[in-house]
Amino acid sequence: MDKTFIKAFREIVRKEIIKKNTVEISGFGRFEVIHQKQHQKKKENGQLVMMPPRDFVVFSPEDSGDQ
Amino acid sequence: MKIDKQKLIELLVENTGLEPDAVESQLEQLITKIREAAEKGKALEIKSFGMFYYSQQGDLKFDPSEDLETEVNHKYAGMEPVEIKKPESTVDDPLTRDPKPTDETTDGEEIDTDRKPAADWKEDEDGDFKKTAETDETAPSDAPEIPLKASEEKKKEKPEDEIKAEEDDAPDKQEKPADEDSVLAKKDEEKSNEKTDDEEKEAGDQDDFNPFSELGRILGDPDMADPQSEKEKALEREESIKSLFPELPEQEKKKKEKESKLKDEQKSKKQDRKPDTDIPGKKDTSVKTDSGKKPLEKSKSKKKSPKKKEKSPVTMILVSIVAALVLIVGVIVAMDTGLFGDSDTADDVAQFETDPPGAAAEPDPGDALEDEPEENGETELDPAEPEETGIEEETEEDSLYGLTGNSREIDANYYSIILHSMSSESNAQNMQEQLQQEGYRTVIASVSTEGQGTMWRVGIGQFPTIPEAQEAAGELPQNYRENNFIGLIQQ
Repeated sequence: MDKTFIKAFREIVRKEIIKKNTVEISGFGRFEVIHQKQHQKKKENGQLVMMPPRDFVVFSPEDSGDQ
Repeated sequence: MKIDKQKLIELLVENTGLEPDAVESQLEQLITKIREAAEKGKALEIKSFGMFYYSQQGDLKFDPSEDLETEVNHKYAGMEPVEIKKPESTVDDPLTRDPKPTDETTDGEEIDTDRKPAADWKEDEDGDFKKTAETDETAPSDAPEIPLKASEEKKKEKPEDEIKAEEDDAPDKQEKPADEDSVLAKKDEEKSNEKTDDEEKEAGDQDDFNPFSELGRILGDPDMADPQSEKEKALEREESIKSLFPELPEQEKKKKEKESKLKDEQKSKKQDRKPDTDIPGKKDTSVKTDSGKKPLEKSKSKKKSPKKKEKSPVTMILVSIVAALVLIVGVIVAMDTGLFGDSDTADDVAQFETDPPGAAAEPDPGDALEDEPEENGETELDPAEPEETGIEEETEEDSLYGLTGNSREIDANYYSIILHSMSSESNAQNMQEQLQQEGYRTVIASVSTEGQGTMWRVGIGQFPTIPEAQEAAGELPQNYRENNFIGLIQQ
């Protein structure tokens, strides 16, 4: 496993994730971007704020993956 | 779009120039390495990508690196949480004023839960509590003092006269926002209704035991009427006295009077109300009677009042004068305030409703006068609180805000539905033009962000509050509805 490959892997997956594409690697897991809409959030001090929307990178391991 | 393993391998082949088989084996190696590291309790990090590790539950986890997260979120770069409601420690007048008139109890509760920290707030709390208590119950006489202090301290910024206004208001249970005036008015009416109802009941009770009270009311009648009608009444009275009790000595008259009163107890209640209605009636349309009842009552009153004059014991006069004064004041004030405008045609129930303000007459005008200064004071203060002014402006000038049309220049901060976030201004302007052609009022706001430089946000609509923006956003075409966020446009 050489560095070039890892670099290429990283760049490609990154690029696809940023394009909001799902990258699913069978036998490993799935990378996807989940969008969280803006939402109201009440803080402990009673302050109520509108949280801006946000995208999360989420990795879901494949069930079949052994440990 | 979904990139499966096959596609990924193709892309990797393209990128690395390796053979597909080699790429696949490299990928397997990578996966294995990640797993092995994770199983050993170590995290394997791919720089600028993220970290793989096993969670305590034994699931393979991935934490994206910071720059990946930033890049994924570039559209929202620089967006900060927008405050909708201030934290407890800084909660101030907005809370006490915002609550809508009908929410007085909830207002109190909110304040109760929200305000804990500073001594000032406790005092506010007290004051507000008292306020609600005052309005819910009926006028505890000593309660106002505490709210006074609270309001004074709470609103130090206010000019003296405003504070005074509040002080004055407090005793009258009127320490409330300007926008609650209408409700206050209603409440006052209700209260005064209750009061007068009570008074009337009391009066009725007095009737049962003490005929003099009725005399008072009867006496009150002529006094309340206009001079002309007074004269007419006087004449009528004299005539009726002559005709009805020509030969009766005074004592006999008194006895008869009492008897008749006892008989008329039921009617007397009606009389209590009718005097009020009769008077305005006379005022407006000279001597006028709606039903057969009133003439009857008049004749009764005529009969009785003269007798009273004839009796003229000091106590009787005093009692009757007091009773009369109460009614007179009430009716006069009621007439002044125009409450009896339709009294002629009004039925008994309506009269009941209109009577109260009369009975509570003196407090009422005072309240009205005192309310206005407070109102002014609050509107003057409002500009310091953007959200609140926004709401007010919205109600006053609807056209200032909206989703469509041309964008307006708004001095205060407002909210817009952001549809696009572009890194180039010209692109943003293109999007803006497009949206403009679709009929939306468009807004462009530049936001400087860390790492992403300046972002150009293209929004549609101008709204004073987030909820209104959200409501409008919910009605947009699907493509806009599903991908937007509400942004605060700061001036």
